Amino acid sequence: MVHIDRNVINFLTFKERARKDLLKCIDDCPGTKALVWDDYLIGPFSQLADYSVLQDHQVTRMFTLAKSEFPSNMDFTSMIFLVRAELKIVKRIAKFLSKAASVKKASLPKIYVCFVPAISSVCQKALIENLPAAAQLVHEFRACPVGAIPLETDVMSLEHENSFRGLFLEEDPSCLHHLTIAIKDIQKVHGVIPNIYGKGKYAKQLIDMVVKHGKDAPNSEWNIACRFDNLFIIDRTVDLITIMPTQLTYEGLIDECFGIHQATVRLPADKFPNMGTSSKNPDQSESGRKDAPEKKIILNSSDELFTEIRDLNFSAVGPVFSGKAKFLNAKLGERFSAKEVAEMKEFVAKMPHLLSLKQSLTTFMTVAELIKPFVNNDNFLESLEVQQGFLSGQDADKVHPYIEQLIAQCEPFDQVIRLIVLQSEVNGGLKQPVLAHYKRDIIHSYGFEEIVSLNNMEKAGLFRTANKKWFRMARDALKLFVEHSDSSASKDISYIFSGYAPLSVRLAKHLVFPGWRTISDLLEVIPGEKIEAKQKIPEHLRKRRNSISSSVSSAGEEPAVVSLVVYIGGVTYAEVSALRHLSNQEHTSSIFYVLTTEMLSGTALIKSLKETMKTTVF
Amino acid sequence: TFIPESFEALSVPEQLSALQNAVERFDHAKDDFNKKITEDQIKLIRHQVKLEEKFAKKFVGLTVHKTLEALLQDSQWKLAEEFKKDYQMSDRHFWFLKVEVLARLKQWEELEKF
Repeated sequence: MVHIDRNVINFLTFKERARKDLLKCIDDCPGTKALVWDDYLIGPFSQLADYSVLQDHQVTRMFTLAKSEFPSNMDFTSMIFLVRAELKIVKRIAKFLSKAASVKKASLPKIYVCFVPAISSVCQKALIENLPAAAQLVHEFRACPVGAIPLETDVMSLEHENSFRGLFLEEDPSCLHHLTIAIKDIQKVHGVIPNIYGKGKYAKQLIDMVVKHGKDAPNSEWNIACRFDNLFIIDRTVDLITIMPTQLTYEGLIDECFGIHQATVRLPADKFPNMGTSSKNPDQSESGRKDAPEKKIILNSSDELFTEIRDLNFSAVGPVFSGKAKFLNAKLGERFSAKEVAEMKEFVAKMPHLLSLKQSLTTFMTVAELIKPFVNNDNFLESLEVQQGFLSGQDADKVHPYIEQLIAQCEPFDQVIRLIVLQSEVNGGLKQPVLAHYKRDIIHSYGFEEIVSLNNMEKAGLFRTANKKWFRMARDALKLFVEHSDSSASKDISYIFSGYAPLSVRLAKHLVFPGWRTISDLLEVIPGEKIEAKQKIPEHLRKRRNSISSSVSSAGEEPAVVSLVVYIGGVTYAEVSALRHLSNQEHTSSIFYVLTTEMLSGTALIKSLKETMKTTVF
Repeated sequence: TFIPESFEALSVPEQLSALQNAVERFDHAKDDFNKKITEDQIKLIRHQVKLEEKFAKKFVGLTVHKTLEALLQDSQWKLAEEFKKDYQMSDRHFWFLKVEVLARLKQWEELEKF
């Protein structure tokens, strides 16, 4: 799917800002530098600046908190910790620095602890409690204000690891603070967003913070014409349903099968023979690492073909591939028919484009082939059928035989839980005896230690027993399930899940048209508070409506309604795809952008809530 | 919190006492399900210790599912049946497990009986 050009906002421009913020933070520390990384930040930050860029900024050595020891040879002036403000990280810093306490102070570098994205006094105190010497060792605590990282022109993510667990299980509000900063950054560039809507407990908290921030800010700072009309904030617990069924888009399936991190998927390199040298890292083969070599494939809109197929239902991808292959064949065939020099010249000019298309066609067809074994096995199909059954409204408040079977066969834990949560959500909660049956069954198969994981999931709201049947009403009012005979033919977003239209996306769409007022009864029954707020905007900065603006080419056409959808606790690739489908529909002029705490899949969510126990063998 | 502790325990008695503490906590919190399931775990470990003496095989640390599988594998039908009842394993779960083990053992006559 190609992005249309009315898209005036490009989140990728935030990358440059984030990069500047990061480099400034490094430059502000004197002399040559050693960076000590919070391991989790390496991935997101490498998107902003790679090692050679860091070297240009006098970074001479790098360490990681998890794997490195405090260096004995300190041939640098500054030591910079780039870390998230989390207590577990603070403990690691304390451990890392404990060796420095015995070193003569004169031989130590200047130590800076830079919290991303903001200083945390709690963490500062905690560090000194963990290691009293740190009070003398650390030269300064600073903030490294890198907030959200753009993953795509229309998607920004805090890349906040396990944000769902942090918020809903541990009740740690730090990701709300980070979101407030990110929303403020967006408003600084694209103007104050006038209409704010929210659904869910944490949406309310975030909106309060955003509105308060807006009021506190000096007026001059916000002197920018508004580009966004709506800010819609959704708490992930309002729509747990959508995360549970298997994502069926091309990109979503890549995530389900292999996991996507920072728009990159790693696949076994031997499946990609003769394809560039990027995977052939000489260091790797020489040092004889045990890991099989991996090929990194970048998944973003810089690739034309991927942009076209990422949001499609997997079943619709095949025809695109064969169409492209035919196109390539015909175009490459032209070299034989070209007789005139001018014709040949034209052909040669097109060559690079054709060759790069050929290259990406091979890559993405290979990826599709790697996905095939997952989707073509009986288990997958059967599971899909059960998911569709739940979503289409088959009565299912009893113990489901297929789920029982999965447990009895000790199939992957996350697969089982996803189905149970789905069943629970579409029923507005499970009956107590049904839930108890599942839990006992799970413990029999996966072991007693899973009791802690199960309790975590209950606490985080994944299992509900309260019986409020709202899904049926939502399904009817919002057309959440549409039968399709052919999944590729439909333009409705429900085709993404072969029938199911994501709840969060339908809510976002209804906000723009025909408006939430039309579904106010439904919004009352869907769990989670409903919030509406306005931010005041001076007359001259408002978006002009109902007037023919000269900049709009087709006369009389209203400017598109632009909305920023914020997911607290994570968003799936399939939901992003569904929002993109809406943005690209010809008749509705609404455009959606996404800000999320992280990219999420049902499996990743459940893994984050699992507790791993050290089991001792006697 | 006592549950993670029970897994760090270095010996069976230590583990049992941590679990016993957990039972008391759940009782205090009126959390019947967790209390019962933890009691079952204590029962299971004691049970497994006895099975280890009887069969000179490793049992402690196995799940209910794996313990039962081991019993079925040894054709201890009666013991398995009792075991299933003791831990309230669902009929379907037991059935799946039994079919799987019987097929593995190629005990087709026993399979026929279903």
